Amino acid sequence: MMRRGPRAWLIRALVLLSPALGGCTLGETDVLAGGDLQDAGYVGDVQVDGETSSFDGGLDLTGTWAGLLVYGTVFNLPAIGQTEGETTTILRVSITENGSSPQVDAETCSVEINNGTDIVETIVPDRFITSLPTQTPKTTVEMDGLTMRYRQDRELTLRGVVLDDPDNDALPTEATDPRVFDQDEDGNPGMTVLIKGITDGEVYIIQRDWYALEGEATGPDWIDGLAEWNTEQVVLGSDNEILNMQTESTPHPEKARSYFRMTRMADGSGCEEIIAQRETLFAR
Amino acid sequence: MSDNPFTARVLPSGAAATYFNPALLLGQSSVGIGTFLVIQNLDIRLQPRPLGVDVEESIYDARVPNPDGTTSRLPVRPLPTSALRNARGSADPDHASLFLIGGVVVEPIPDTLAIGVLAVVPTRAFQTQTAAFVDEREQYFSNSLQFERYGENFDTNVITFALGVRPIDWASVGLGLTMTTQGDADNEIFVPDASDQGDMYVNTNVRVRTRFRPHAGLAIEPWRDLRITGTLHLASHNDVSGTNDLQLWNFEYPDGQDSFRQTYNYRTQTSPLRASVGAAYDTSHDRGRSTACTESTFAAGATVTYTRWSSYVNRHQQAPLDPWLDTLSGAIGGRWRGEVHRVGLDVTYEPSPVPDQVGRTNYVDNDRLGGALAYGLTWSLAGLALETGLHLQVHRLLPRSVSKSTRATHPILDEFPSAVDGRTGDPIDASSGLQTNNPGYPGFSSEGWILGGGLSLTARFGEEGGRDQ
Repeated sequence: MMRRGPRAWLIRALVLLSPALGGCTLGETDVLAGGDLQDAGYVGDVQVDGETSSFDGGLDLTGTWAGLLVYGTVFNLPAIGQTEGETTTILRVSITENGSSPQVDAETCSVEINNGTDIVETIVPDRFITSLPTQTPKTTVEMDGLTMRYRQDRELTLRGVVLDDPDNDALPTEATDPRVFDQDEDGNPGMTVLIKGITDGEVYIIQRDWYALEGEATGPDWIDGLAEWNTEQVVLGSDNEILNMQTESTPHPEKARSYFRMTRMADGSGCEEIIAQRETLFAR
Repeated sequence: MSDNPFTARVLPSGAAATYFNPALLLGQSSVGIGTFLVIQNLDIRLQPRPLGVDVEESIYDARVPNPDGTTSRLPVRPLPTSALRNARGSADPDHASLFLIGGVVVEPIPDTLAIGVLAVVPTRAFQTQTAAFVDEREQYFSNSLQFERYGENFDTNVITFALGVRPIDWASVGLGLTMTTQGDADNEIFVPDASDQGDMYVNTNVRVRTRFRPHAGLAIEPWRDLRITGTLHLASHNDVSGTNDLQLWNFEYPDGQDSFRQTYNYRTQTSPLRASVGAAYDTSHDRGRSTACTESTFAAGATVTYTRWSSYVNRHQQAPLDPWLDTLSGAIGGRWRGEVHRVGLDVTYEPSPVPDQVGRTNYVDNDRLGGALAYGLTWSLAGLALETGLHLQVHRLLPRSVSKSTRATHPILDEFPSAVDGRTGDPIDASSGLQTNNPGYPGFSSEGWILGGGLSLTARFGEEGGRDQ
């Protein structure tokens, strides 16, 4: 009776937010062609050794793609310490122009966060997802021998905050800072995520992160590669005081843990279909 | 053990006067031991739950919408009904206890000053303190109802000291102290990894302090065979208080803190203030003296006891939402004593102090009707007067039934108020209407029997010290 374990609700602030919460941009396609490409069904313009080359029968990237973006993450959690997990983002990618600089529109369908612990779960509400604008990252496609490389340059994203100098201004730390805005329009500052588990509550955050992609076509309907990323986050507040503290997340040192996969879908496919088929779409 | 356990405040027998009315200690010089078995056959029947009141798994995703469009955390945290650890009503209220009893009364100044000591010690444990919530919070634990004043909380020791003085010929007074305990437990805890709750470092500091609660008695004999008594017992209880001083690894505590502090407080074996008056017709002419008589005597008495149950606080040291009621209980009894045999008979009635539990709380308690029968055989050994006693008691907890009402002052709590899914913002259908895991909903009934039986052996001394008139 006298001896008790720590109360679960005392484990606070396990706000394990993805550095890639939405807003992920897939693009910068670099796919390779060669003699085999025609056999593989490639069509369109590609770059070979830095020069754009067009070929009939090359890989045509236009259409709808399902995107999977996984960030291998080391979380530093209060009261727990370092854990290894990942943030998984599902995207609907639309490529409307073919060639070495395709027009890529990336819509975020869902974001899931595995904190590496069972005691709390971070949930990204639908409202958060829908508040994320469709991104149009600068994407290039290059030929490297017989390999079509797909590359998206580093791109910065701000969430819940507007900065004069997005790259260098420090993130505000107060919810009342005029640069903070209610991006998900839920009545709370910044963006809202939910914590569920041994404690729960809403956490109001702002984020700045960047990521870049580099991969290759592994077939006419697949593009796979690695992701490079980093993130910065400020917790502005919470409706549960115990969650009102800062947390850290950094890329896992094993670079292979951060990767992306794209799979071609039927034109017009939406997020619901992608999510429903995710187990098969991204199996390799 | 007393021949008249319910009228012992006015009809003394032996060391029991130490507790019930120390003014009657004079004339009770004796030493006695005994044992007493109490069997509680208690019954609580829960009414079946209507459809739609279960808490569904969707509670874990729920947020309560606010008028301004924002949402809030749930005000209470029920578990899904299907995930409760124990089935509703699965706890068995039946209980049996065996007590050892010892007492001694001596008169250092015969007929003027008497000192008594009485000890009642349960054999199962020196003291049992069992906590339980009386509302929906019990869902996390036994998920059952429990008799508030019976069950395991019967198992407590009673150690009492008292002295009785007869300053004038027709009156005596007494003052006693009953031992209670105050336990304090302070735990210092460090959790190196909050995700591994099985690993923690604990230092525990425990102190158990003894406290004494006073009681007093008065006995007046204005005429030869008439005795009038009054008693006052101040409130007594056994408390346990404690703190957990919790440290976590790599953690930012609120300003001014270097740990989290959790407190808890329990209270058991509560006896509120009691005051009684009594009157007895007693032909033994010895003001309760029970020494072996050379002629048969008869005594009959009655008491009325006021008990201030309105001051009751429960096992978690919380006052009932709907205050308990003060009670007046009564007892009548009589006894006959011959040279060899003696017989005592008592009856008592105590109304329940607990109002109908039509709301959130589930204090289970009943009116009680009790009877006691005692038989004693007097014999001698080496010139010492010995008495062997057989003591029987039966108590009936009269049937009682309650149904919860929406018009109650503190109605059943809707533990799953209308909510939305925190992820999607969609309404959660399972939250509409009343959902509760309160084990007492929608109502319950209770009754029971308490049976007691014991044996005693008493050596009476100072037989010649009587003050026969």
